[in-house]
Formats: sequence, structure tokens, C-alpha cells
Amino acid sequence: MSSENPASVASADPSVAREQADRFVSVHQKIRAEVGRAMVGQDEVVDGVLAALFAGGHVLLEGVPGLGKTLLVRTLGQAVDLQFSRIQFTPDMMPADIQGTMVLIESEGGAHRLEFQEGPLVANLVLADEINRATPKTQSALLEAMQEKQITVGKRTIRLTEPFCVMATQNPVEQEGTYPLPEAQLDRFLFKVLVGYPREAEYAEILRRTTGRTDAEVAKVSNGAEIVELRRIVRAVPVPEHAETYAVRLVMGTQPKSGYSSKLVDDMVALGSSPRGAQALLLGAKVKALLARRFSVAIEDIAAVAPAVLRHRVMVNFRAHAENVSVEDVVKDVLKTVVAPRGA
Amino acid sequence: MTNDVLLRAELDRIGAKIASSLQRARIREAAAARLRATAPWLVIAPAVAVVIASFGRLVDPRIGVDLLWIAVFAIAPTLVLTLLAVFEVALRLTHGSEGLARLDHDLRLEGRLRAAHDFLSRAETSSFQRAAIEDAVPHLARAAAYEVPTTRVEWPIGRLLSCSALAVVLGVLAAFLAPTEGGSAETVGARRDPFVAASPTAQRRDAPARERGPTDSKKPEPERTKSPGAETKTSAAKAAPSLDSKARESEGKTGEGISANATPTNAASNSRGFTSSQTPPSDKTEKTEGKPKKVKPKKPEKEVPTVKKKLDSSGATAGKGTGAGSSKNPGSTEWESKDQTTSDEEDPLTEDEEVNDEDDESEARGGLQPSLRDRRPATNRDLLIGFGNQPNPDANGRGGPSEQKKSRGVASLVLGVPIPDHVKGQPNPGRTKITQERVLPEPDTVAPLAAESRPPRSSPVAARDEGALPAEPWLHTLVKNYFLAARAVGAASESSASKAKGP
Repeated sequence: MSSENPASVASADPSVAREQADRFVSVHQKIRAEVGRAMVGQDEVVDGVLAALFAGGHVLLEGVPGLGKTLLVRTLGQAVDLQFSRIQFTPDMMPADIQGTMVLIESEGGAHRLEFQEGPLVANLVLADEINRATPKTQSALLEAMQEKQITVGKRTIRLTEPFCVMATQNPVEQEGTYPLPEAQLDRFLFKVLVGYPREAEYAEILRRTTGRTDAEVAKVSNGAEIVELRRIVRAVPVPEHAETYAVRLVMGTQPKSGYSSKLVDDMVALGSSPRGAQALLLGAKVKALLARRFSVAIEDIAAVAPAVLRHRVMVNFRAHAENVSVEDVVKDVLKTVVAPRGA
Repeated sequence: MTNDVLLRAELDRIGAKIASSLQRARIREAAAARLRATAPWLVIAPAVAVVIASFGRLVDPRIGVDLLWIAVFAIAPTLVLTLLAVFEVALRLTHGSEGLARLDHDLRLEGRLRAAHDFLSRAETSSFQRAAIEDAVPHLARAAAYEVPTTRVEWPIGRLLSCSALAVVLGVLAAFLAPTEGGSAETVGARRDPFVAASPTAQRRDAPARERGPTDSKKPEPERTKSPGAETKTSAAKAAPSLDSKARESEGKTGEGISANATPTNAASNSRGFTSSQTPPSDKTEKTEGKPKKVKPKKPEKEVPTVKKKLDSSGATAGKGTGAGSSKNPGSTEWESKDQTTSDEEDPLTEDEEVNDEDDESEARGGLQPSLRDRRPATNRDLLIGFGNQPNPDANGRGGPSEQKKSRGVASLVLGVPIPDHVKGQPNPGRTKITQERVLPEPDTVAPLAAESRPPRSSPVAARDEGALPAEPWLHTLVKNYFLAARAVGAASESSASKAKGP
């Protein structure tokens, strides 16, 4: 392994970059293969989750029950040997239930002391199941953890160990008694991945694996330290100026009345993406570029991750609902309308 | 570093070559597009020339057309706009990076060339940037040999030919229609007109005209009087002075219309140079002339009976002083200007006459508009229940939904979402039985205990050892004596009971 810091600008040896890129691709393929032993199909979902893990972000999985969302995250935790915890959100859940709380502990000699009992949020991979069932108060308890990678309970601040990744799921069907995620929290998810039904050919394999005698065993192929190292490699991928400009224009294209918005956006969008969207575009594009064995971000990489980045950052207005214009339509229109910069 | 410089130069060269190809293609496309858009304009100037020639032929033979000028005005706009479009595109330079972007796209290099060019321009490069630069080198040869496929530009030849042919036909028609005879003394003015008198025939025409006197200018006049509007114009010109005087004498109901120098806005305007009048249809004028004799016995001076009717039909009321406020339908009269009526009679209506003259007015207006005095409110066709226009809240839904329900139902149909009824509860008068009472917690002013600051217990919490005696021995003695006494009492009672039973 090279001891070079990939973030160093002074190092100009391209062989270091090639070695790191090869390592990244190798680990990614190993993890992908292990997850594939338990998870049938859903290639886009698995790629999106892995991209979010390597980009250092969080991912929101949306799909109807029974599609393997929980299985995916659990399998990923086993393959990467990360501490995994699952939080099943309910409407009566309080922030202390997930962050942790002070409990009274009896020590030797009859003494009593207060001790902080960590909640399930203190883990590497956190599966937040049905996050839209929790109250806004509980949902906002996740905000600090997701953004700052720390938890504050009273006077105590607990730094969450890296890598820390929240993979939340939500059910698009059950809207009764749910609390839609606020925009501030939605913005903190790097990707929103839609989990769909498996194909007909995949049903047979799913049934064979899940109703057979033995369950698939997932081996540990990586660890937390390696994931942290790979995250640094991702961040070292450079972005040319024209790709950066394209990412900015895409984000501005979702904002009504901006210079790059189309008529559909002006009429149908209430709130466009924030600059976090541009950050997410570049991080996701870097992962894509490395997986394609390139050493810089291309416009095609940004366009490939744009739907997953923008679909939860764009809020349509009432007119869009009345005219049956979805966010997906808006994002497609933005991708079609915003052209890459020709040249300085 | 030298390799970097050479590499950068090579990329610049390749990019510039592709960029110039793109620029040329864009210019061709812009020119073709502009020609396609402006080809129909070739027809405009000849069409205008035809109109002018027709007008000159019919009205004023001094006005003619010149084929040369027609051609110039036909071709100039198209040519100028096309050249402007070409210059506009040419001024927008196509940069070399755009050429590289085109190469990346056509050769499917996923931005390698452009990224390499960007990183080479930076002072320091990281390992990844160097790797990206090296990644682009194997593709340079292919990029250098690449030629941008020339896109076929569809020149609008067919459209140009058809429009040109049409323009030629119109030009010839204009030349054919242009008057050939009739010169006039006003050839100077005609010369100012570019369509006129640049040709020798026009000059020859003008020369004998200069020898004629001013009387000859009257010759076209008899032709003019033959036109349909001419008679009315002359009659209007004659009637104009009387109208002015009549207007000054007019009074309204309140006399507000009196003004020494008041002139009606509908009076013949001298500034316009000629007068025009409004002539209602002859049938209606005859009717209106006949009827007032029957219904209006009292009339002021009937100096010009025709003016009054024309004024009525014109709809103009300014200066007349009538408060009737009649709104005439302009469409019922001919095309002459409404404001230039030359009627010579004015007959302001009084109150009695207003009521009786509703029919007259509507007929004078052509019967197309109802009288504004008939202002009954529209019939309310809403489904109402209850008393008059007020809904009965106790109707229990009979008679249809209430206004509020209807409004809510329409809103739910429009929005596509059900909007439930909201029923406001209202407590009945009398004692209210409260089955559930909400008690709000009151804040406690006690200082919060700090658990950590409390000292540990001095005594154990769990069950005491038997050997550990209380600190107060008298209490132990007291309890012991009590149990001993209780045992003794119990034993005595048992012995007495056994004795009572006996053997």
C-alpha cells in the first residue's frame, strides 16, 4: 500500500493514483459480490447504496415493504464488518430512544451514579426503518448526527465513529399517520434511491434463497478503516472546470426564475435544490468516475447521478400536483434543458 | 514540463481545427435559417407597389411605381437580415475547448481531452490529474485525424424561387397598373416619392403639365365627386358652420352644456382638412324623419332636420347637452367617422320624451342594443331553500345543498381531493357535564436535584443483617417484651382451652 496522502497536491506521480483507483475498484467489486450473495437483483439500488457509503453520505431508500431494503443494509454491514443497528421508528418514539439517555446505575458499595446509555444511533451503519413514521422531533434528532457526525445529550457530546452512514427507508404507500420528512433533513441525504419490484426472472432465485434450507453466508471482505481510506481516495479525484460548471448549472436549473431554469421549472417548482445538491453531484460523480477507471469527473458522470441527487431536493408546487407533473419529470426536463458549457 | 507544453499545444491545435469547422457550419446554418425566414419578405415590396399602383390608377395618376425601386426594396431586407445573422454568428468565436468537447462527445472519450487540457493549464497537478493527462495521450492521434462530419445545410432554394417568382409577377403587375397618362404641376412632390418619376416617361409627362395652368387641376375633381362618399363630404362641408352655431346654442337638462365657445367633439373638424359625415341607412333615416313628427309635437327650430338624425345615429353626445346618455351602436352605421357628423338639427330630449322615445332611440340605433334604462336585475336561478333569498338552516338538506356545501363541493371537484364537512359544535344552554377534564401541569419551582452531587447513602439499602442492632436498644427491648407478652398470653389461652375440654 502506498503511504502517499492522496489529498496531497505536491505528489505528481500518476502511478500512485492508478494504484489507488485499482484498489478502490477491487474493494468495491468484492463488497458488491458479497452483497449479491444475499441480495438478488436491485443492481441500481446496491450501486447507489455503495456509492453513498464511499462518498461519505447518507442514503434514503424508498419502496414498498418486502423488497429487501433491510436485508440490503444488514448484508452490507456484515460484508464490511461495520457495527450495524436498526431503528424501527414509531410515532411514539422520543429522541432519547435513538440518541441515548442518562440512566441511574448502582455501583459497588451502594453508590449510584448516572451513566450515559448510548442509543442505537451510535453505530457505523444505522438502518432507520420507516423514518417517516417518527415524529418531527425524533426526526430532527437525526439531523445533528447525520450532518455533524456527533450526538449531544445534555452536556455530553459523543463523536460518532467513522464511517458513519444512515440508511433510511420509507414507505411511499402508507401515508396515514406519517410525518413527511422536512426539507432540512431531506437535504442531508446524499441520494434518494427508489426500490422497485424485482424482475420476473429474479423471483425464482429470491424464492430459492429465502425458502431453502440454508441461508446465504456473507463473508467480511473489508472493514471500517478501509472504507475511510477509500473515502479519501474518492475525494482526491479532480473535477475539471467545465464539469464543475455543469453541476452548478444543473442545480441552478432546478431553481425557478434562475438563468438556467426552463418554463416547466418556473411553473411547477416551488423550491429548487440547494448548493448541497451540487456537492452531492460531484461526490457521486467522483465515485462513478473511479468505477469507470477514469481519473477525473466527466459530464456523463454528473448526469448519471443527477436523478438520485435531485429527486428529493426539488419540491413541486400545487399546480404540478394538479397537472400530474412529478419530480421525475422535472428532473428529466432539467437534464434535457441544461446544456454543458461549451468553452471558456 | 516540456512534454506538457507540447501536449498542450497539440491539444490547442486540435481544438482550434475542430472549432473552426464548427464555426463555418454554424455560419452556413444561420444564413440558411435566416433566408428561410425572410424569403417571404421578397413579396412585400411588390405587393405594396401593386397597391400603390392601383391607388394611383384609380385616384391620383400622379402616383406611379418604378421597377428599379421595387427590386431594391424587395431584395434589401432579406439580404441585410441574412448578412446580419452571419455577422452575429461570426462574431461569437468558437473556442478551442468547444472543439475538444465535440471530440470527446463524438469519439466517446468521456471528457478525457478536455480534462487533460484543463489540468495542463494549472500550475501544480496532483497524481490523479497527472494520471488523467496521461489517460488522454493515447487518444490524441485519433483526435487529430478526426474530421467533423459536415452537416447538410438545407438551403431554401425552392422557397426563394417561388417567392422571387411571385415578387416578379407582382412587380410586373404593378408596372402594368401604374398610370401612364396625366401629368400635373405637382411633379416635385411626386419626385420625392421613390416610386414615381425617375423614369423618362414620367419626365415627359411632367413637362407638358408645367405649361398648364392651375385650372387644369380641377379636371380630376368631377371624377372624385362620382365616388360614393363624395356627396356626403360636400354636404358635410356645407353643413359644418351651421352645426357649430347650433352646438353653441344647445342646452342640456341642467344647462351645463351651455358654453359660449363650446363646440361638439363630433363637429366637423377643420384640422382634418376635409369633412365627413355619418349617413345612417336611408331606410332608417326616413323612418326617423317621419316618427318625430308624430311623437314630438314640441320641437325647437328645425333648421337642419337631417343633422339631428345623423347626430342621433352617431351616438355622440358631447356638446349636445343631452343627459339621456344614449349609447349608439357604431356598427349600425356606415364607415364614416362618428365624430364628424354634419347634421344640422338638434333636438334635445326632455324627461317626458325620454320615456316615450325608448323605442325611437333603439330604432335609431338600429335596434341592436337594449335601452340602458331597463336595468332590472338578472333572475336568480340558484337553487335556494328557505325564505326568499336567505337559506333555511333547518331544512336538513331538503331542496339541495346549501351555498357552503356547493362551494365546498366545487372546490373538491377542482382540486380532486375530498374536502370533508366541518361541523362546529356548539354547547347547548344549560349545565354542561364534563366527563374528561384536562389538567395542565403546573411548573414546579423546586430546584432540580443534581444526582451526581448527592452523597452516597450512609446506610445500606438492602435487608439488614441480623447482627446489626438498631442504635436505640430501648426500642429493641420494647419490641422483645411485646412479643414475649404476646406469647405468654397465647400460651395461657391455649392451656385454659385444653382444661375446658377435659379428659
